[in-house]
Formats: sequence, structure tokens, C-alpha cells
Amino acid sequence: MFGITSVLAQEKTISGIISDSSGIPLPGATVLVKGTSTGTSTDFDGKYSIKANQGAILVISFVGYNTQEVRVESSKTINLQLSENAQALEEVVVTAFGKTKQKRSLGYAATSVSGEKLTEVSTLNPFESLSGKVAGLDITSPNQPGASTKIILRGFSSTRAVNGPLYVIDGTPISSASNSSSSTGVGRSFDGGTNINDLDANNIESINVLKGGAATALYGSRASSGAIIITTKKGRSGEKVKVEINSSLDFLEVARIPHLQQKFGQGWNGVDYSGLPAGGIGATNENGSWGPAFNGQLRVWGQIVDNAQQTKLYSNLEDNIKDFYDIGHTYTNSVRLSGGSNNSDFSLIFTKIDTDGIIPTDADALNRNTLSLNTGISGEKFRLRVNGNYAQTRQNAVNTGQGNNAGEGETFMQELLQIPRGVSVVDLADYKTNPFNNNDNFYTPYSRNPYWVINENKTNLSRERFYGNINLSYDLSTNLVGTLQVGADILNGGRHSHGAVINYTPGSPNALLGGTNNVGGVTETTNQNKFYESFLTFDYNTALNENFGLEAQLGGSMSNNYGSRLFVSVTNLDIPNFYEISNSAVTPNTAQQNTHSKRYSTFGALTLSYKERIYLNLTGRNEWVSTLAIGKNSFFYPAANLSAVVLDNSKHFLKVRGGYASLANAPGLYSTESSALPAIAGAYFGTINFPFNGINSFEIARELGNINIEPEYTDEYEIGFEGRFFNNRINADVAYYHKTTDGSIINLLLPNSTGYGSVVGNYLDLENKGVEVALGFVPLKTDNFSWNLDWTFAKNKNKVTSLPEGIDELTINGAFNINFKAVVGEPLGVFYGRTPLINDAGQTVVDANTGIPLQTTDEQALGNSQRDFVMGLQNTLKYKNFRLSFAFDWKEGGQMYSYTSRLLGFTGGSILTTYNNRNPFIVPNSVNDNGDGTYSENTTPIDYNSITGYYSSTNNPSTEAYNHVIDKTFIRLRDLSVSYNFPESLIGKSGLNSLSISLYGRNLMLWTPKGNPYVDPEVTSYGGNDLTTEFGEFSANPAQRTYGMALKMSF
Amino acid sequence: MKKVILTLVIFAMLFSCDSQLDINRNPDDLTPDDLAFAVELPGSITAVAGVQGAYWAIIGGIWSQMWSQSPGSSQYRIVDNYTLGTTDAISTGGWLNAYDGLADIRNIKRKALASENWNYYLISTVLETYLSQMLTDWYGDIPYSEANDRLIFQPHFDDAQDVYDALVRDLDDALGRNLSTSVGDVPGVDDLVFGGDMPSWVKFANTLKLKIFLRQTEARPAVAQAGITALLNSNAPLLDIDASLTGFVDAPNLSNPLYESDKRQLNTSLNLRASTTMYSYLADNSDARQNLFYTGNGLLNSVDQGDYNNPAGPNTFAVSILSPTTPVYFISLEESLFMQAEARERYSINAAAAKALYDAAVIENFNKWGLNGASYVAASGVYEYPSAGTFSDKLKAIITQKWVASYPGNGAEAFFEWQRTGIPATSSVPQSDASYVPGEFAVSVNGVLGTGFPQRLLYPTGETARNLNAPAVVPITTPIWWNQ
Repeated sequence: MFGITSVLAQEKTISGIISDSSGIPLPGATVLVKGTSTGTSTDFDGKYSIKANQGAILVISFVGYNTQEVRVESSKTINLQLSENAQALEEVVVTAFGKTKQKRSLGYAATSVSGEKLTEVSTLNPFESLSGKVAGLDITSPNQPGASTKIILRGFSSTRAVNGPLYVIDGTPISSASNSSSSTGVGRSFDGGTNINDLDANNIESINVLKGGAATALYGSRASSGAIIITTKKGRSGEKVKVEINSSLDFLEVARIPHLQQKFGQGWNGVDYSGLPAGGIGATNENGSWGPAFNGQLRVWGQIVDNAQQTKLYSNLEDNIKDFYDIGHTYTNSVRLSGGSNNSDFSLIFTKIDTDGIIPTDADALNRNTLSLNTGISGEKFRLRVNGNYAQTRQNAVNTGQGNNAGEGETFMQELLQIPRGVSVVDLADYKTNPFNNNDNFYTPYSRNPYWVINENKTNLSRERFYGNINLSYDLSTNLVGTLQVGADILNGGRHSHGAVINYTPGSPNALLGGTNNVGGVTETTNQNKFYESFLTFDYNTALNENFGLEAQLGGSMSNNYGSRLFVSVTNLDIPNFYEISNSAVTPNTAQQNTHSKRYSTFGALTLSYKERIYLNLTGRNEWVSTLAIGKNSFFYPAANLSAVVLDNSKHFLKVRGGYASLANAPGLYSTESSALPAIAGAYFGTINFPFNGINSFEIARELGNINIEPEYTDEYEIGFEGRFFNNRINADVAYYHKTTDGSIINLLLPNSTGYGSVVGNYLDLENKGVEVALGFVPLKTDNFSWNLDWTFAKNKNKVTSLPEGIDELTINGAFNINFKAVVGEPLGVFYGRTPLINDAGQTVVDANTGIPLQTTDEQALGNSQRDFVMGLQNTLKYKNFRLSFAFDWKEGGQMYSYTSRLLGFTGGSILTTYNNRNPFIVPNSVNDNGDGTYSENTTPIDYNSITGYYSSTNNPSTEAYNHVIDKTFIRLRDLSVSYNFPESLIGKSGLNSLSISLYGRNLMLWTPKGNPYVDPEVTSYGGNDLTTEFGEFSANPAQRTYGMALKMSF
Repeated sequence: MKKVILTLVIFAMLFSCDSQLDINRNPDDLTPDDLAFAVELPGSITAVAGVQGAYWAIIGGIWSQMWSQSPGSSQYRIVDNYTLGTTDAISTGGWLNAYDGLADIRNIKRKALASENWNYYLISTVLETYLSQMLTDWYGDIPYSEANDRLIFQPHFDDAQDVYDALVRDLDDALGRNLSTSVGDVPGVDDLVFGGDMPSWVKFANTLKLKIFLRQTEARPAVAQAGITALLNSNAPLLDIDASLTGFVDAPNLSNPLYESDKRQLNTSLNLRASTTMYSYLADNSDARQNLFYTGNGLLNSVDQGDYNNPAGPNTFAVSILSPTTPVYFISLEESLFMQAEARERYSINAAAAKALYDAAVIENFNKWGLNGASYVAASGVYEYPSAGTFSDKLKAIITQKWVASYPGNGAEAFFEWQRTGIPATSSVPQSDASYVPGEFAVSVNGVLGTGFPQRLLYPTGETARNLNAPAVVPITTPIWWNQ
């Protein structure tokens, strides 16, 4: 046969252009000579050339288009237009263990996003770009370089720190643990980002978001809050070595800063002078803007230093806080080499990111280098793939919260916001040579110079990370493949933080005014995490007959997770500016922790298909985990779903799907047994620690062990449909889900009188239900122009359905007399606080002496943290080689606690404090309680010098509930980008394959409701995915706006 | 296919073995069972000291009018204006940390009973009853019999009067054990109070019984009289040294808890200012302790109780002086002596000895401040014992001096005794009035209870929101049962 063909064949070179139905060239389309291994792909202009014999069949294919075959005739040119395939777009999704599946076969919601989309406007954090683009995914952007992105899929399902999705890279889960301070305290916190930040955005081929319970069936209990499946870039077999270079430069500026009042300047209780330490009256030394209205007159201000005093005009400086911030920058440079031979491929990528945010100095700088290799070889029956990633991160974090001068000192935002209106912040920068700006002589003893804080106090994190896997698969027979994958994720991290000493010089103004010294402190932590996971699977695939197909998978996995952490901290530094643990005579605080957990599983999956139209998927998984008690540590959970393609023609495609999944989850480490810890006696703001008096002591830990914990089970039902109509001019993906969680594992707080703080167990029943809608329209499409409109909408309703008998509520978090609770019948996370007392007639009952509202005796519900809905709108316009896209996010509803609001109420910076021009006023509609059930009209005004107190929770405690729990609704212009792809006519001779340039901006506009002039509601003081972080912000660092440009080329 | 199944079976067998998964034990922690008496006791003692010496010392000190909130700051306004609620950390923390400490104290007691270690049994019983009496004196009904049991998540509240009876019963039980037959470990340096000296614990237990009975003189005179008479007639040894926690140093987290919290950890150390009540009393009596209690050598002003909105500059008011190394006195020697003096006078049990007890008590307190108090109690001295006076004159002298001697850390006891005896007297005029008598208690200028004083602390939400069996919150104005 061969001989005959070769005799008859006349080999010649065929060339041509492959384009879409509108004539636009398709770069990267595959052209194969049928029945041979000869193949090529089209270049940037859709051109190809291939050697083939006359009579041979060329097979031309391209993702998203119908494959066509064409016979080689006498002509040497074959141009072809491929028709778009309505059902084929994004038809392949990556699911469990790196297996690709036809999307039409899935009975659950899965959304995939290409790497290109992700890096369009952001190169530092790939997930930031997902916001608004995946229905049902609620993403909170980081507010400084390297800070955390919070990702919640389909609502909170636990009060524990397990609400984040599982991240799986090329089949192996990797750590996304938080590197931040604890998610509750309000004292001194920092957001060091999460381990998922080590991922190189430029190395992502695609991200697939599995939202529902089906993900758990595939990935096990750790994916009970969904899974984000990441596929990294691979080289292509048979492709010559290709070089891609991506460079971008971003400029950052401060976005939302609090909107402040512009009328009143420095002072307190309406006066702009204070008592001098030695008697008499001097310039005000207050940290608030409670002085008289600005009058533009020249006056002295600040402390008297060497008999000299500064003068300034008593007038407003509108942007005094904003002026503090610098323009930050981010440089990203990435080089990728890829290619392959017939049976091997490789991709090697190096990316370097240098960023320094908007806060002056390098206090918010981040440097990250990543190197990734993804390579494979294959033989007749086996395929071997190795995937290795190394990431090195150096990060400086700016502390948030209230600060602690008995520890590592103040935090920057807390001090910045205490600068009165009218004081020039930038003129405080020189605290070393300008004597008025140093600690001794700073204009107030009650707050610090923020420049001193950011220069002298530091938190530095460093991290070395290696993760990757080796995957070997072997064709045991034509239908049966065995796969073994061994993966590892190894992390070494460290943190150094320190706070400087302040010892006021005796006799200096701030010493005389009773300023508290800072004792200074140093903390060093190191942590190692090692995670290993191996799995073995067997995949069987056969056509049962003409109509029925069968795919089956059986497998098992085992994982080991080791952690080790060492923490040492000292306070009361002896030698100033020397930040070592040795620099203190005080006993250091030390902690050391080793952890180990194991998890084994076996699983099976079965897909039955009928005529490639109806698919039935069944999965079952059994897990054994070490974190449950022996005898209770095995659990099984099944899932089933059905997908039916009811419409599939050249114009329209419609698939309906429905499914049920049971998911289970295990408790965290070490909850089954009680333990004993070094004894610490609580003493209000202090403690009595050991060793004490030369002896040591231990006490029973606050957490009571619970040997009876069981896995928590969630049942999830989901129905939905996907459709593409009129040749993709309209597409829709709609899902409705209903999840009920029985015996959610939580920390049940115990009555104090038990002597224990909490016990971990199955104490909470929850329900989440919601809809997710993704709609796409192509209102306009011509040869040169197209407009795509994509809209996503998600609404999740969360409800606590049951708590242990007799308990109506659980407190999740709380601060400043506002508590954050789980209450039966309400969504998780209801804010409670004592509100102004209102009588039956709806009048505010005030204290007859002060005119200030009395508080209710009991806490009242103030709303909850759950959003009403999350919406995203993205527009993409293409004209020839230009592309313009912009995206809006709208997150409606939900409350948060704002410490910024609290602080600005206290300092008089908030606009709220200018009510009635700060003249005395009577609380509207207020009455006095006559004590006999009657009320009389209140005639006591809030007098002139009590107005300060009216906005401070100390004098008017109900202001916490009334003014500091705010609506966190916002609409944001998330991003905007313009890009231009140079056509080959321009770059053809340069040797480049492709060249594109883009300009973009992120976080360009933010709208918040009137009740929130304070903060960007997405800023946070904490990292992580804990429900506790939904409580709010505590002097969080401001969000930033980015303008950038990127250059991408390949040759 | 057979090969596949076989491989999976082997894979499954590899890890279905329980022993491989039996690793869920924190490798860095001890277990409660590992705790020897000597390991658990020191933290139990500091726990009592932390609760009493910080939370209750501040509330007690303000309510017994040693201090008032500074007009320059605001930390304790809610104490000074009587609005302490169910969620304020300064009051909820005392309850929480008391039961946290009792968890270990009762763990020692359980194990001591089981192993018949009567030494640790007595020590733990004294600590348990000492702290529980303070709890019930602040709160009334409290969980006692069912508290700190890891099988009971919803402890019942015991009636306050029953708690009092239980305290005596439990002390008698421990005192009734034969210490010489105690089995096992012997207390030593781990006993931070007496260094393992068991006779001192017997004295502490007896003196505590005296304190418990004395508190009931008004509400249950017969019970008080019977108990005290039996105690004194039996010649039970009473404290002749301080029962205290010493060993504090000037270093973070190792200092006297009141100093640590108020002076070192708070962002201003100027919150506690001299209250006119105690300040004027000391000044009126030219008491040398005044300048050791408050800054300014008597030249500064005091704050009229609760007048924290006073517009005068904060620096014109005298500040509390605290020391990082002051011991926490559970029952000081002088308190023991004052109680004995009252008991002997009240029930005429060798009443003649009362004067000597009183004099020794006053002098002992001056000694603690490095002063000689002899002239104060000498004939015609300002604090001379009114031997010729009525019982109420004598009681007034005793309780007033006990009040002064409670500075700085035992204001709570002074407050309870003021509730019980009405000593010092309550002023009918504001402290700003010219006719104000120095040393008389005055309602806080910013008090929210009209002419009333607070009577108790409110149950914290950390208890009521989690305990089905918790009673309704009792208003701050409802007196404790023994205050009739």
C-alpha cells in the first residue's frame, strides 16, 4: 500500500490562510495531514504551509470552531473559513486530577477563565481580575501590594477558617494559608497576604472555578467551599522554541481616603488652647479637630521648644491627609521559553515583580521572583510530566489596628488620622532635624508623628516556596490508563517585626504632658510547612455500543501535612534602634508548635453517556482523617448529577443540568483532646506570666477537647442551564443551588463558669441558597468591530437554622461593644450593639443632666454582614487590532464595623461632627424619663463643650451602634484597559511573532453610599477567609488606584 | 482489571490502619492529666491574684472611693458613673478569669481528694472558697456546686446564701482532714503564698471562715455569732502573717497586676486620680500615708468622686501612686487583726483584747508603707481606739482604718464592708459643698443611679448568653443578700 501511494503521490507544499467566518485570520489553528503525524499551525496572520500529497486530506481545527476536512487537489493554495461552533466555546474544562472533560458532560456549574484575561490588567495577583467575572465568586481585592484576596464561593458555610476554596495547581492542592496576624484582635495587626500569592500570574494557562459540592466529590473535604483549578502553561509538542516577554509598569496612587470635615481646626471642646505643663495657657496640644472654625488668622501652634514656637495660618488644608501618600510603582518582567519535539515539551518561565506601594518609604514594598518549569515526555504507552515552581517573596507589611505602646508601638493609619485638619502633614516628615517634629516636641502627647511610625516600626516577611509534582501515566490497555502523581508543597517563612523605643527627655513638653513612653519590642517568627500528596488513579473509557459510552475512574490518595513554627518576642528594649531578641532584660515570650495531620481517601467516579447528549455522573469518596477521633475518622460522601444537551445545532446550544452532592468536612487539628499550656493569669490590660519567682507553671487550656466530634455533612442540590444562542450572540449560564449543612463544626463558646472558653463540635446548622447568573451579549459584530457585554449576578441567602438547645446566639467576633453573632433564623454574622434608648412613642430618651441619649439595656440587632447581591458588568469592544474593555463591580448590602469612623468621630475629623455647625443642640425628638412611666420633653442641649463627647463612644456609648456600623455597599469601576495588537504588516520584518501593548487602570472609581464617607469597604485589617474578618476594619490601610502599561511580545 | 483491584486493595490497606491516623495530639502541649500539683498550683495562685488584683481592685478602689476617674482621660468612666454593663471587659473579665483560675484550683482539689493528698486538698479548698466568696459578694447567686465540671456545659446557679453555707462546709471539710496522713507530693516552692508551710494554710482557712461569718452579721446575726463564737472559743489559729502573693518584679507581665494593667499596659498611666473621699480623710488627719498614696505631696487637688468632666486641667489633680512590686494581699495581717478586733467587740469574747488588735493592725499598715503609726493610735492620736466609746464608735474606728489599709489593691473588700456596715458614712451633701465632712462617701457626680450607689456587678454575657440555667440579669441597684 505504502509503496503504491508513494509512487502515485506527488508531494508539494500547500499554503493558505485560515480565517473565521468573518474573514479574521485565526492564528494558532492546527493543520494536519490526515493519517500522518505531519502537522503545523497557523502563524499570527492565519498563514500556514505544509507538505502534502495530492489526494491527501487536510484536517483543520481550532478551539471553538468546527473542524473541517479538505482534500488536496491540484491547487497549491487552500484558504479556508472555519465556522464557529456554538457548543464548543470553552468546551473543555479541567477537573479532578488534571483530567480534562467536555464541559457538556458536566452536571454542575464550572466557569473557566483564560490566563490571558487574568493578566490583562493585573500581574501581581491573578485572582483580583476574577472579580465580577465569575458569578457566585465574591472576591475582595488586596488593599496593598501582597495583601490578601478574600475569595468566598456560594456564601459562608462555617464560622471557622475554612471558607476559602481549595487551590489546585496541575492536579496537586497547594497551601493558601494566611500569613497575617490573627483575625480578631484590634490592637496591632498586619496583612501579610496568603500563600496563594506565590503563584505567578504569567504562568497561568487557565483557571477553572468549581463552585459547588461536585468539587468536593472530586477533591475531597478540603474543597468543601469550592475549588479553584489552575492549569499552568505548557510547551507544545513539535513547536520550535518560542520566547515570550511580558513587561508591565504600574503606577499606584491612594484611592479612597476618608472624606473629612473642612471647617474646624485643631483643638478640643471648641477651644484652640491647652494648659501648659508648667501652668498657664499655650497653643493647643490636642490630637483632634475640635477647635473653633477656621478664621485664616496667623497664630502660634505646637510646643514651645527652646523658647521658640511655630506659627501658621489657622486655615484649612483640604488634602493634608492625601498629600501624605506617594506614587507607588510595580514593575513586572516575565520571560518564558517554550517548545518541544515530537514526544516532549517544555515551558520555563521566570517572573520578577518589584513593587512599592503608596505609603512613603519602603514600608509597603514587595519583591517576588518566581521560576517555573513544566515539562513532559511521552512514549508509546507512557507519559511523564514534571512541574516545578519556586517562589521567593520579600514583603514589608504596614501594621494596622490601634497599636500598642507596651509592645511594638503605634500603627501608621491610627496616627495619620489623628492629625487635625489644617495641619500640614508633609511638613512633619523631617523628624530628625526639625526639633518641632520629634517625639519630645511633637505637637501632641496623645499621638505620634506618622512619619516616625512608618520609618521606625517595621514588619518584614520573607518566604521561600517550592511546589510541584511528578505525574506518570501509563496505558495499561487501549481503554485503561493508570496514573500516579506525587506532589509536594514546601514552604519556609519568616517574619521580623519591631517597634522603636520612645523615652521622652525629662522636662521636654511631651514628658511634662504625661506622654507614655514606648518600651519597644522585637518579634521573630519562623515557620516551615511541608505538604505531600500522592494519588493513584485508573481511568477506563469505552463505548458500550453505538449510543452508550462509559468512563470510569477508581483511585486513592494520601496526604501528609507537617507544620512547625517558632515564635520569640521581647519588649522593653535596652539599646534603642537595635532590634534583636538579645536586646532586653525582660523574659522573652516564646512559642513553639509542631503539627502533623494525615488524610487518606479512596474514590470512584462513573460517567455514562448517551449519544453524547445525556450524561450521568456518579461519584463516591471515602476519607479517613487524623483530626477526628479513632473510630469516627472515616466518612463517605456520594454525588450524582445529570446533564442533558437538549438543543445543539449550528446556531443554538442548550444544556440543562441538575445534581446532588453530599460533602463532608473534618475538624481542624487537635480538637479531640484537652491540653495544658503555660499558665497566664489575666489581669485586665496586663497578665501575670511564668516563669514567676523562679518557678514555672501550666494550666488547663481554654479549649475543651471533644472526642465525639463527627464530620460535618452538607447536602447540596443544584440545577441550572447553559445556553448559547444565535451563533454565540447571546449566552447564558444560570444556576440555582441549595445547601444545608448539618452539624457544622464550630467553636461553641462555653459559659465562663465552666472554666473553659470553647469546645469544638457539631453545633451549628446552616443553610445557603442562591442563584448565579452569567449572561453574555454581543450587541454588535462586524468584520472590524465587535462589542461584548458580560453580566454576572449572584445572590446568596444564608441562614442559621439551628444552634445547640437553649442557645440563641453565638458570638463570632466583637470589639468596642459591638458583637458579631450567629443567631437562629438570621444570616451568619449579625451585628449587635446597644442603641440609643427609644420609648414607645418613638422618642429618644436622653440623660436629663447631659442631654446625651441613654442606651438600651440589651443589645439590639444592627444588620448583618451578608451582601444582598454581587454584580459584575464587563464590556469588551474590539476594533481591528484595538481592544477596549472595562468592568464594573457592584456589591450591594451588608454592614461592617468601621474603626476609621470611630476614630474620626473621636478626633472631630468626620463630617458628621459638623452637625448644626457644632453649636449646642438638643437631640431631635428627645425626652427625659420621669421615672413613673411618663416622659417629658428634653430641654437639655448638648452644650458647646460636650459636643466633642457626643461623637465619642466614651461619653455617648450608643454612638458605636449608631455611627460605626456602616453599610458596605459599593460600585466600583474595577478596571479599564486598551490594547493594541501590532499586525504582521508592521512587525513582520522585525522577527517578532507577536507584539501587543496595553494601557490599563484598576480601581478607577468608587462610589459608596452617604453613610460611608470613611473607607473603601473592601479594605481589611486582616487576611484570610475567616468569617471573623467580615467584622470590619481597624485603621486599615487605604486601597490604591493603579495606572499601568504592559508590553507583550513573542519571537 | 484484576491487577487494578489488587493495587487498590493494597493501597487501601496501607492507610486504613487506625494506628497511622492516631496522631491527633498536640506534640507541644501537656495534657491536663500530666499536670502535677506543683506544676498547676503556681498558676492557680496567680490567677486569683490577677482577678482580685486588677479587675476587682480597680472597680473596688473606685467604688470604695480611693480613686476617681481622671478628667484627662476616660478609661474607668463606666465604673465611676455606675453604668458597668454586661459586656464591659473590666467587669466581665473578673468573672471569666475567676472561673478560669477555679478550673485549675478545682482540678487540683479533685485529684488531691482522689489521692488523699490532704495538703493540696486544703490549699486548693482555701483558694476555691476565698475566690468564690468574692464572686458571690460581687454577684450574689453564682455557679458553685456545678461549676468547672467538664461534663456540665450549663452549670446551675446556687443561691447566694447557700453558697455561703457551702463555703464554710467545704472549709470545715478540708480542715477536718488529717494533714499528717497526707499522701504524695508535699508543697514547697510551688506554694507561692506560704512556701509549703501548712500551719499557715490552716490559719488562712480559719481567718477566711471568720471573714465569711462576719459578712453575715446583719443578715443572719445568729449564724454569724454562732460561727464566730465557736471559732474563737476553739482557739483556732488565725493569720499572724500576711496571706499574700509576693515576688513581683518591675518587668512586663511579672508585676503587681494593678500596676501592670493601669500603669504599664494602658496608654496612659494617669487614669486613677485621688478621690476627694479618701484624700480629704487622710489630709484631715494629717496622715503621712497620703503622700505615699497620691502624687503631689498634698499640694494638688483631688477629684470629687465621679467629677471627670471637671474643666480644670488634669495636671492639677493628684494621681494614684502604684508600685510594680507591691504584693497582692489575699488577707493581710492587719485585715486579720481588724476582723479579730471586731469579732471580739461584737460578741464580747475577750473584748479587752480588741484595742491591742486594733492598734497592732493600724501600726502594721503604717509599717507596710515604711512609716511608724504608733503616734496615730497613741492616746490623743487621730486614730486612737475609742475604748470608752460605744460598740458603734469602735466599729467605726475599725472599719474606717480597714478601709484606709485596703489601699491600693483591696478596695473590693472595703466596698463590701462599707455595704455591710455603712462605714464610712455617706455624705448628705456633695463633696463640693463647704459642709462636706472629709472621708464621707458621696454619690458620683456623674452617677446614673440618682442618689443610689451600685450594689453589685452584672452577670456577663459570656455567662448569660451561653448558659441556659443563668438567671435574668439582676439590676446593679439590687443589694447582695447580706447587705440588709
